[in-house]
Amino acid sequence: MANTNQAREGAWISAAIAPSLILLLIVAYLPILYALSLAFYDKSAFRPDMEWVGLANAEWLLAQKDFWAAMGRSVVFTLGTVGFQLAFGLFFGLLLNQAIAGRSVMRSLVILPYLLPTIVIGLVFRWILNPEFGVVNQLLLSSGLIDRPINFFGGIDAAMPSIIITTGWQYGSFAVLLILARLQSINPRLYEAARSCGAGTWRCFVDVTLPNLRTTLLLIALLRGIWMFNKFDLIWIITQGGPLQATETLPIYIYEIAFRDFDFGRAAAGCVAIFIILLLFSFIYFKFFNPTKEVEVNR
Amino acid sequence: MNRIVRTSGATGRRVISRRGLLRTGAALGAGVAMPGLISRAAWAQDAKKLTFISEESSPKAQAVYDRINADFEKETGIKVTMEYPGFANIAQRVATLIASGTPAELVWYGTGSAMEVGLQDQLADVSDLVSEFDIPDNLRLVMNGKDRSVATSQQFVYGWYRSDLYEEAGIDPYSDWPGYLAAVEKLNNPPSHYGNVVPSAQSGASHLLMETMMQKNDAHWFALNDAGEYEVALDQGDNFSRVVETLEYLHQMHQFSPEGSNYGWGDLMSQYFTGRVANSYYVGARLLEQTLANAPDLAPKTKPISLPAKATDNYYLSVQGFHIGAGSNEDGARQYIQFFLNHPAYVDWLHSVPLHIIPAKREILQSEAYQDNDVIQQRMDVLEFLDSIWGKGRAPYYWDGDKLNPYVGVYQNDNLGGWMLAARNIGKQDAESVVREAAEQIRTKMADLR
Amino acid sequence: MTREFAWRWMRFLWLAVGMLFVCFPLYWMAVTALTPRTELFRPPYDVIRFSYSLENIRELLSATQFLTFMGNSLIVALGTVVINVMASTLAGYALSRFEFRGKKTFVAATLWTYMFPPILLAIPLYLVFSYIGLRNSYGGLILAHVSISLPLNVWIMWQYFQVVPRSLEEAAWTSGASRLRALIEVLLPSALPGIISAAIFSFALSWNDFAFAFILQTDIAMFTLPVGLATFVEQSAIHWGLIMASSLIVSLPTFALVFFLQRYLMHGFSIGK
Repeated sequence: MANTNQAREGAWISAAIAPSLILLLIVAYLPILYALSLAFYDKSAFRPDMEWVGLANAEWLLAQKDFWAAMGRSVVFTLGTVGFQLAFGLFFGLLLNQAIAGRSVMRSLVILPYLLPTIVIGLVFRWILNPEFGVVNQLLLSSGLIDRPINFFGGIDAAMPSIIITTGWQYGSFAVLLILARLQSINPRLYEAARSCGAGTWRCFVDVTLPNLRTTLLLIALLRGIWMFNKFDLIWIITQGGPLQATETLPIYIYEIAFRDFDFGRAAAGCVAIFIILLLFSFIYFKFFNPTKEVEVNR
Repeated sequence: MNRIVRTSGATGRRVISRRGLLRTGAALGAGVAMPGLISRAAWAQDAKKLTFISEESSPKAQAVYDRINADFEKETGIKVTMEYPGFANIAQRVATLIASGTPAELVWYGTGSAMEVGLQDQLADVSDLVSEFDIPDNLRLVMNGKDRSVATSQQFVYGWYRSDLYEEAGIDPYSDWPGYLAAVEKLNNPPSHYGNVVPSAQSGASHLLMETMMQKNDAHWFALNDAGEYEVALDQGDNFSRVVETLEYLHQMHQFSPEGSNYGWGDLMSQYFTGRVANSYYVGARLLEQTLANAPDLAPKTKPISLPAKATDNYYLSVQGFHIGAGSNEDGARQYIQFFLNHPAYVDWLHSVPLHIIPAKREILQSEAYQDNDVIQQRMDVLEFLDSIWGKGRAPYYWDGDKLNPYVGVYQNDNLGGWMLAARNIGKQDAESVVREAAEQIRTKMADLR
Repeated sequence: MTREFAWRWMRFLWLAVGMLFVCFPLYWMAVTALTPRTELFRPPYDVIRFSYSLENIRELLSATQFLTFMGNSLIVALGTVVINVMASTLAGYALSRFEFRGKKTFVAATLWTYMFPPILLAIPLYLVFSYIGLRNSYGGLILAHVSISLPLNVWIMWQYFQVVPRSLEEAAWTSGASRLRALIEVLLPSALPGIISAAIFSFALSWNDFAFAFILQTDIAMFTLPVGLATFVEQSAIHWGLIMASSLIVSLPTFALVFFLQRYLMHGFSIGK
């Protein structure tokens, strides 16, 4: 009797896990494995065949000055965008958590950018930040704040901050969503208790809000950190890594190896590098914070 | 008792779940893969299908393709599937198809990009078609004695200028380097408009300006050594000073240009038709077409002109043509090329961007059928200009010597000329070190090739 | 009293500044979409304007394949949502209700997929899909989009089911319901906000995707909106009016979606800790 029960349970597990497992196997794990294995081959994009070269691609990659420079820019970009998104999320999360007229329209507007195609966002920002025809420059010029148009995406110093702000504008809403959701599930009695002990708005924030947001902020930092380190499309649509190499992050650099030099093998070695970096990052992260911990059910 | 049951139960459960997973997985996997394998086998043998990737993708060109393809299918039963990945991505698409073992039958794009593919033996021999259609010698792409490209059309890099602004300022159009610089300086009137545009980015638009001006100054990327091999000449001897001189000249011109640190072809045209620059350039007449569409009042004042000559009056020549993927349905592709070039709609295809897609042969340019087009009738001055520079163009792979230079891709894929302009004009690096660094980059990449 | 008052005004001011930052690009997109082509490149512009033209939108609907692109995008996004919801609900249920070997690895492995640059995942997918004939098909693109959305959805659903009390389904069992019936009739309704979050998340990823659609869909009749939009940029000068018009049309239904579903969204993500 017990055995049939167990068997039935086993069947349930297999049947429930199988669709996800098989889908991920076919469309994610196997292709990724294949792509990673290319790192050990001399594989030109112009040839169907390939040749085993062992670690030659990795050695080549590690010897490139451009690789390390791109790595540095990736770190700057990731820290910048994740920081911006957390700040953006906290800012709107806290402001929109309170009762205020038109709150649901404002919430929707804040969340909207996350659901807009990246190419739309890239092109909209290219248009409004254009040095010649951009409305932002026009407003800055006419208000007397600047006397020459700023070349936002074309200036060596301005390009990276501009890209970071654009990315933050698009993805900040993800953070807003998570933070708002978390704020609403904080037990109001906690605030009442804090107030009755004489805590002001600031102390309430530090003693009640922040500790409750801790895991959410950490989760955002982890997920967004991984995603932003891999961010390709928005940068490619806007600057293609330029001007000179001011916005050439690691994914852009690798893409160029694949499709400018047409060397899939070396590009794959670059992917392995990204993979290892992120694996290390998340390993350390899990070690310290462990966001996979199962939710405690206390209802 | 209880305990034992539990343990065995746990083991049993594990086995079942794993087995179950495996079984389901195998069944589903086979289910997904099988039809694919079968359809692929069927597809590979299908001589009744062609994939055709075209760089030209204007709506008019697409309409002509559709017409010709329909006729072709009626006559031969071969179905043609069109792909338009766009100017910036066509090389990527061609490469991905080859890498996955399913090369496209036909690719219509620049011979410079095609050469890269040909060097890897991935282009079919089309010598028979080249002689059948009597393609002019300077448009041929010959590798190891075999033709790899059926040229259909060509473009030159030349300038476009605002005749009204020149008249207002009371100056004549330029013809040499000092004259161009003086005119640009005089016409420079920011923020209303700038004298010219010198894009300084790692873009094709930027690169071709540098490369064209280098040609005008008889400056070379490579030179043939005594053994008949190409060697980097960028930083060698007198040639070095000519390259530096070219870069410095464009740096001076850049002072009278909007800061084009991120300009591609699109920006180049929009700067012009919005009236922001007095002088611009393009590879062909698409700039005129865009001006007609976006600023019709500017179009009549938009005149073609040679970029100023110095040591030579050479024109950077860009050649486009049909290329057949090796190992694809080569016979079908051959039939298609013959059908296409003999089809009456071929002239309409040339007209899809009038005066931009210049026919490979001068007879066609001068023919009544070709000239029977509104835009061409309005702008016979452009046609006469093109006729006047006929034959002066040289493709980059024949610029450094009469033998095909297989290393052109090493600097062109990277738009290295554009990088040089960016490093000088935006990065403020001095010209000599920019040129030396560029030469080193080419050498490193070449060492990698062997 | 005055302090309270000052706080409120400061909050209002900050919110206004923040909303300006969020809304201005959207506003300018709409204004540009409604500006005729000949006036587009004629700065300075009136920032607040009342004369509009539908020229761009008319051109978009008549002279381009915008509607085809939009249709393709919708089909692929809906397909992605359906597969994601089914697969992730089942997986989330199993993860939260059973103990089995490899559970930890499975959960951790879902995150691995995100550590690989998507644009380069597209290359092997392209090779595989060419091989099995899934290129230029809805099915192929849907599968590709599943690869980027399913991992997080499994995660969301796993977390969500954990807060749906077991007592609910146990009560159903004791009244004689099978596990499947208890799942469908009792658990699913209480997990609805989580399911909606998963659905919206999958929709967003599919709707936004450029990298996969660009590599896998090579036939213009199969292009999705983002790839189709890129053709407006192509070799001719960038046609800003058309681009902004299509952006506007894409944004409106998206806004409606967010507006009406935000309650569920908020609730669904609150469990995501």
